[in-house]
Amino acid sequence: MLDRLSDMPWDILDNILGCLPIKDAVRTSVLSRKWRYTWVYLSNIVFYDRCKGFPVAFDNLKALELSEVCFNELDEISVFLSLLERSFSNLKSLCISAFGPFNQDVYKLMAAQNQLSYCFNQLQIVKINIALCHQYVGAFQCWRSDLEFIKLVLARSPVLEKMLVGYNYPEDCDLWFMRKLLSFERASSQLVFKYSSSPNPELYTVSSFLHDWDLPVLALG
Amino acid sequence: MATTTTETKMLTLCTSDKQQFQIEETIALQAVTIRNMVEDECASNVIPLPNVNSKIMIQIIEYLKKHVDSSVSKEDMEKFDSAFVEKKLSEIFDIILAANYLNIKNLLDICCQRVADVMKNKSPEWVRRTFNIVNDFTAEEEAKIRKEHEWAFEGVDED
Repeated sequence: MLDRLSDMPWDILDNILGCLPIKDAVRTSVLSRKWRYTWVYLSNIVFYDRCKGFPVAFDNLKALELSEVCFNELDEISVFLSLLERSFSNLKSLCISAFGPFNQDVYKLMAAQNQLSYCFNQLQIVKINIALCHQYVGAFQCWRSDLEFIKLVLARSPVLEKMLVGYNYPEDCDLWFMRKLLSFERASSQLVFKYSSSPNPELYTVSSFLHDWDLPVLALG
Repeated sequence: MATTTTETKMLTLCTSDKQQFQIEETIALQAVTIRNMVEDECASNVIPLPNVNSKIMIQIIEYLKKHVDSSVSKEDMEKFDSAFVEKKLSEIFDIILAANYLNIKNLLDICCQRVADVMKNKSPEWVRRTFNIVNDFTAEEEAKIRKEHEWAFEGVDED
């Protein structure tokens, strides 16, 4: 019996493993010697569940999609930042849905990232969708680790073209939030911001994200 | 043909086993490789497809005929696609290689998704058996890799 799968050309294996959650792709490393590092070179990785410990760099990664990132948990954010640090070099698009961005420790960790040396030199498109917990909506100014993250991305992405930010803010907070966004330093001179206060943010995939540009333009950088 | 009143432009495709297929140009042009050949005018009479045999070509034409039909609803198209990939893995691999060569992206994607669905949440032993992959690691080496990515091996399906 032939081993057709192992003999497939690289771009086809890339396509097949790219359809799998990262956990399943990583498990292929144990199939045979040929598979040992195959998953490391994937150009597209989808994260479905929490996983810890990334031993390698994802130099080929162009699109990264993360769902349900909890900005209240220091552990999870550490993994998240470590993942970004390992995949920054060729990353073109980043798509994050997150919740719970009020935590002093995460805020400090995020603020400390500003001293790190890496830049997202290829990053063109960012989509961030954040759901605020209802009991905290009133306290929207405190320890905003998500804003620190946006600040970090803006300061370190010289070719960033589009950033879409979605929040479930009550309407009277919009202005405060827009002012805040516009006050951040931007490394890119060609950035278009889009802001949407959607009441029930859901994760869009990177491809559908491109169709979202009929939203009103907030500001030209 | 006697029954058609308007003239439909036809293309002739010749597969690796020298079978000829006459199909409407609009159907064939969904394959980017064929479209490029037609646009470059290097496809005057018969288009040779040396990497595709007739058995696979029949299935690919079935797929292309369905997908050229704009009256089919999105839902029905999805139904067609999921029924289309219900084939033996060896056939799916043949279609993948042909779709890759002919550059039919949707077909390639649904077939790759089908292979991925087979592997999803399965143990490495199960995947090796299903795809005839020979394990050439020593027991120590395998244990070491499993240890390295311990989290990825938790919670897989029972074989």
